[in-house]
Amino acid sequence: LAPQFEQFSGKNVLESLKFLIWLEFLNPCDTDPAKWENLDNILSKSDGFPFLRRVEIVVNLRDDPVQRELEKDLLDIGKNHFPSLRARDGLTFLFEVRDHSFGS
Amino acid sequence: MSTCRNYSHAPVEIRWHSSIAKGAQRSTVNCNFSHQFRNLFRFREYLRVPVNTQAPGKNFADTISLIPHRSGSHRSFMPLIIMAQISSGDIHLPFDVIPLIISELGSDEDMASLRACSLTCKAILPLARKHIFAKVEIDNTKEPEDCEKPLANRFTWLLESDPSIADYVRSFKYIEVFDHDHLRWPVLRNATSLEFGFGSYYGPGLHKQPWRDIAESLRASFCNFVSSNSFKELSLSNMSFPVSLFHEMPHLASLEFSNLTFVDVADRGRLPKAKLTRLLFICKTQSQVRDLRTLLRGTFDLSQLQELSMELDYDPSYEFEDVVEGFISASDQLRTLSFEGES
Repeated sequence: LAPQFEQFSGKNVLESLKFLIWLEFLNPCDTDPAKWENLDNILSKSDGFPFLRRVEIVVNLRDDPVQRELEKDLLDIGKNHFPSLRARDGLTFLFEVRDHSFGS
Repeated sequence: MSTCRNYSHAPVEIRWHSSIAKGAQRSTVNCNFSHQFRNLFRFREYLRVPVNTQAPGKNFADTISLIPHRSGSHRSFMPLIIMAQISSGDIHLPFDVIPLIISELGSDEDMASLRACSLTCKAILPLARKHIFAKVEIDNTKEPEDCEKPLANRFTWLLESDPSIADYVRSFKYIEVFDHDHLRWPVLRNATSLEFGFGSYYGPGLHKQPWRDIAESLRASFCNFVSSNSFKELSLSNMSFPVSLFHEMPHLASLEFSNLTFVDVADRGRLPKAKLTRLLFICKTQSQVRDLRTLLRGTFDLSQLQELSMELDYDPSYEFEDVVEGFISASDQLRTLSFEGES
């Protein structure tokens, strides 16, 4: 969605943005850090989204061994690849990976 | 300040400000009293409040603030005690304070106390009913399958026995069981919020109630119901719904829907379009996503949209990004955006 938000940049009053992502069965999630960092760059520009106060990204893992293997990569993305959003004053950034596998 | 501790229950505190009593900075009376009814008449012994004192030129209701403590079972009885005292003539509490007490109970949705208040006197009955009947929820999927007197029918009978009750209803929720049609739509005039949908006793799944399969009489009474009220909030679920009915709701500001298919989507030309400020939807099938584009084009004015929440399942036949772009480009007033979907 980065290109869509780039178009949206500078002409909005967006205050809160939330992504709730469910990984599809047997479909590998794109864990390319560059793509996530691109979203970080676009959203963190203060003149692009001057009113933004909260960004929340939740990735839900299903009961799928392939997806569970991604958990570490996703946590790393949340921790290390949104430096600008994390550093922006007055903005709350949350990145969460939820494991929905049975017994978790 | 005086505090009475003869009765060992949580206190009710009544405060009023110095503007009421000349020379006093602030007066506070704490009254502890039992919730048992036999102590009702002792209450006045401990109420040392000059309740008929009023600041010159000021409404009593403007100056008094009634702050009941939030814990303890006494709370439900507090208004009842005051009401009883008033109706017995023992306390001359100005009547404009009573709506404040009732309103406080209404905002807490404290139905037990509101019902108790409604029984105290005829003057208080409409004040309490305003809150008791403000929100009516009928969910037939939660009724026993073999229920002889469904809740929907009981509500209709209630309105027939006292039509004035209909005027109090602001929010009406009706969930029907698939392929049933228990309800004759009630005659309401002041409702501003409607939730209508279908379900089953075992959860809705992806099943939808086709509009054409709803009984003709029910469809007609529903259309009449929609045009008789000025809805600002609408929630629809698990059914097909004629787009033409949206034009009967020009004041609609908030729309929520899930598992919905739109029918009767013919271009209505210059018919009024509702200006939505809030749009939340869940689409689980490709056909619904196509319907959304139709909605965008012809049914609503989305230029004032402030809150948008969309939940779309993965479908290779459409580009999620296109759908998102179509919505976020429609308004420059968006404040809250939420996306839920499969990657």
